Amino acid sequence: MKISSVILGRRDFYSNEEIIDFTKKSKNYNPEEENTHNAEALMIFQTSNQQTWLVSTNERLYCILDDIRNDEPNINWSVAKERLTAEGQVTIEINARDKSGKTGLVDIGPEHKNWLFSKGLFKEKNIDNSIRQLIKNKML
Amino acid sequence: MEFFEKVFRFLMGEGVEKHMIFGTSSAIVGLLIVILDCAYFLVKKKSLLFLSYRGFRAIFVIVIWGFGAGLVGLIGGAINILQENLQACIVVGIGWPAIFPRIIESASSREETQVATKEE
Repeated sequence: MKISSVILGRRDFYSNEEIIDFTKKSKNYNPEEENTHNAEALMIFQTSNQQTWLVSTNERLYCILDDIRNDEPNINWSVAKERLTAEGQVTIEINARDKSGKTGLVDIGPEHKNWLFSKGLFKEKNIDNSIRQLIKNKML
Repeated sequence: MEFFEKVFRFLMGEGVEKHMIFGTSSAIVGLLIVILDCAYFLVKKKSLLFLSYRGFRAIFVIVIWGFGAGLVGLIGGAINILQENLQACIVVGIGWPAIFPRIIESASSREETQVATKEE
């Protein structure tokens, strides 16, 4: 933990595993069908105070914002598998564009637009393909 | 005593000794510089640090200047906005009031913020 965080009374970020486990708090989480043991998380946005994660289980894609100024992360939205895939393919539209030097905006389907992402996290592989791959890995 | 040592180590993170040495060195350099400035003030009636050394208040000013330099050196080193070397000690000793706002700015830097939404 950074001293600046200690001075300002902030907690640590949730780890990859903790974020995956946090999806259980979603009101859309279905313990009978979903399994967090096989889930995968992809961090798309990172600043000193915030991290945004996409977590894919076998049934849903979750967007979780971990803001260390708040007591716990927040589940922003979730999308069911049926709206992400069809006939063995990822069908949801994913579009990314520049916003500033360090950040861009990504639209995930028609309902979840303008989500910030950090370009630095996607130097080797672009964000569109990373999200598609995440969905493909866990749902197809 | 052991408890307070643990608290201090927790606050300072890795390299606690290095931060302490840097903070103490900054305080000593700060004290030397302010004493030199006080001497200059007595001779030239002008302070290069824009301080005022009148009567007993001079002692208070000197102590506070050294204490401030030490604290800024300690925190600046711990949050990695200062390289912990002699040059940085001198810079902190002379100009800690100018560095302090940078530390606060670094702790609450203006970054883009993702707005939270409520899951439907």
